[in-house]
Amino acid sequence: MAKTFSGGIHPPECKQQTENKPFIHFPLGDKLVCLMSQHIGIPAKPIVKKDEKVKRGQVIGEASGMVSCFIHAPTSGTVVAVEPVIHPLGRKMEAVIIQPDGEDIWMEDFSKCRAKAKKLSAQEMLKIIQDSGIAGMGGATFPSHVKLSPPKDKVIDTLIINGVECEPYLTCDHRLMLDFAEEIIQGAKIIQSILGVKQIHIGIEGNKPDAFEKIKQAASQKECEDIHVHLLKVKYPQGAEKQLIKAIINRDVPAGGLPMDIGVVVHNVMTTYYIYRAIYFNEPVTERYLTITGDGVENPQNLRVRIGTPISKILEYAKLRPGSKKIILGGPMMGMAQYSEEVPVTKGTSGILVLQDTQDMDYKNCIRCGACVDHCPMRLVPSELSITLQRGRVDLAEQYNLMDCMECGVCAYVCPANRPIVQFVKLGKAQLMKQRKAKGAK
Amino acid sequence: MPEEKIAEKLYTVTSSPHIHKKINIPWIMWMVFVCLIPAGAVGIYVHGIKALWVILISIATAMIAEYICQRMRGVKVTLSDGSAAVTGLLFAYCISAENYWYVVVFGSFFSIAIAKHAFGGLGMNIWNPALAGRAFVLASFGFIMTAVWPISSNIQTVSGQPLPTSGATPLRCLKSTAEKSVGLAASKDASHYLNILGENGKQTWEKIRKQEAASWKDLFIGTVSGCLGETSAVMLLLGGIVLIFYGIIKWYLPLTILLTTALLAWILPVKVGWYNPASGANGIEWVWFAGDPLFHILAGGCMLGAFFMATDMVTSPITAKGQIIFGIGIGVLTVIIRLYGGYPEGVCYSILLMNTTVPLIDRYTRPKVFGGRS
Repeated sequence: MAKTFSGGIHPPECKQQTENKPFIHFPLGDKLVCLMSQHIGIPAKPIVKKDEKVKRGQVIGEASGMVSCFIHAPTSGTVVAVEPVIHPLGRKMEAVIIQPDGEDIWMEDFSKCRAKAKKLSAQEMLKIIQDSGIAGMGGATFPSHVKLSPPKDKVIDTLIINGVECEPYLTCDHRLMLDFAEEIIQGAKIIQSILGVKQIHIGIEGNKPDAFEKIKQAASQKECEDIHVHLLKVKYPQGAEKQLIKAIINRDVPAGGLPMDIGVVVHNVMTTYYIYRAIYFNEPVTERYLTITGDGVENPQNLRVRIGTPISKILEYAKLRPGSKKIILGGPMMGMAQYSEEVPVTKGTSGILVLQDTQDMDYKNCIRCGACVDHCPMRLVPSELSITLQRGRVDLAEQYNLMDCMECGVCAYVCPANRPIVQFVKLGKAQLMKQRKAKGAK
Repeated sequence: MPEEKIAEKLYTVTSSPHIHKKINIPWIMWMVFVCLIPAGAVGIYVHGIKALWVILISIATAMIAEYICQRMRGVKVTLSDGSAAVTGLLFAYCISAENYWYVVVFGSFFSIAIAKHAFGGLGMNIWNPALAGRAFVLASFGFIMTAVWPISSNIQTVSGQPLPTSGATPLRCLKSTAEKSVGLAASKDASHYLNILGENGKQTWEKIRKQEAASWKDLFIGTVSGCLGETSAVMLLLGGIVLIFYGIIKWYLPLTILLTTALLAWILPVKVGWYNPASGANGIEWVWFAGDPLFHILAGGCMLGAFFMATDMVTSPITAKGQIIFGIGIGVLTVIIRLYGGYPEGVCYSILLMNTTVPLIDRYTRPKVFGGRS
């Protein structure tokens, strides 16, 4: 039987619209909006001014602190403004807006870096990764160099590469594995040498047998004896770090802890690919691969898109159907609904999902059916959380392990009373953080 | 700063997830309703057309009560979600078919108005509404609830065994005869009662069982005396299996109840009297390991309770572990009430009692969070 974790669901996959479509290079357009906050942590500081000329790959936002990321110009052109724009999170945030000159000239020539790649030390490689502005490209956007430099007391023995792509609709990781299997393996080996781990595991779900074969083939060459490729049962949320670790090597990340606490580091395939690009070509993140799909577009595609491209351009290209109600960045289970089509693509935009219908917003009392308890991958009691949070009892919810919820949405998906459990949890967490802060200030 | 226009065209924003499983409360409720129909059909066949009237009056009252309460509480009227209809149907199933209309109306109304809406409506009630209604009418109109359980005289039992002329349920027959034997054995001239009394406790119990217990076949099909919808074990089992198949109820809860009931009914002792005509000796004895487990799970409300009453989502524990504890509790209480309590049947009270413990069970069976502390 295929490996997996306990709990979880299997929603309709809806991947058939795009899973067989190769990547299309999306045109540059006339405006790129580079948000200074495309990662978890402190936003980058813009270091360019209006009317300044930039080249592709030039640093335009400087990382502020350790948990932060550099932002690079996605193409060559002129800075037309440095101002707040709508961020996918809903509020306005600082961004550098570039008008491309169409030349797309790189900052430096990257072709010659390749030769010395293998001789780099772990420290040098880490520096390159940090300078390249790589953040978790599966959607979580945690700065990769932080994940790759665990504290001295944590012994890391296993690297897991996440090729699960458990969110319905999305297919960009799938296509990436088909197109760049060898590059991903090379990237994994770079991470292996940085962390000094022995074994590498790659997890791919059973609905991508072709990608599994490709990766397996790439991993069967010499010097790849430590790489194990696993075909996992198709189940959401298998791409969540804790669940993926459980599925592949059967270790439990302690509640409130991180994978590094049990000697594991997890990286997404696309992050791994960009780490390869950074080390071998010294290329910073200036573009990413994503899927545009859903019943709200006529022409669903897998695209290679410059960071900063406004969603509206991509929607136009994919032929947005009139009357579409929802635009979601990410997948349908955890993606963020957007009110404006003006938000730009960021490093974490794994997909753009357009839906024609909105869901029924009406919800009822919990009837205690227990479906959420049966399916919760974190083994919480979401029904209890939603009831206590509905009554504003954040203190009680905290006792019921509110902070262990990862907001995967499984509970709300299966709820027959249509309760917006994730919304209650998100709100509850924010209130709890506020309370803690207030307490700390006293 | 003046509020500026945020965007040209606004899309709907909601929290994730943006897709939902095709399931809702009405579907669950109407599935339960449909799965209950076969057992009611047997009830109507056995008890005659009056059973249908009891069912219809009960459902109509429940729905009217639901409408009135929801209007009074100022909440959305949700008659179409089927929860009131299911409560009405279940209430009809656990009372006698030979009933006064006002008893049905009182009970059904109590179920919805007091047991459900006084606590805050669907999802908030502590006790199973239908059973709370039954307990209410049992306390208020004891005569009708305990005196007569007639079934149509023109109905043939499957086994050919005659129905008890008193109209008593199989459980009542067994219990009252065992109690009688105790009295008889102590009487001056026990030799008159050799049809009931054996030479020792075990023999007496065998005799009582042979005479009084309805056959397994009758209990299975439902051609016995009893509440309107509880008699047909096979139809209730059928409905229950469909519910399990669709994941509406969990298999382990009914199974725990049935297993616990069967096991304890077999093990626990019954008190009977005996008389030895040769020596003239008599006495009273506790007979262990002499119960008929199959009889106890087929008879009375055990099947209805296990598959349709105890499994009520609102009033049962939320985790598997909790449900198993809950099921064992129901089984234990049922057998204790049946063998030693004041009533021949104990399913209703045992479920109501265990309903009361659900918040406590839930508290102590909360699952351990992934990767750590409980």
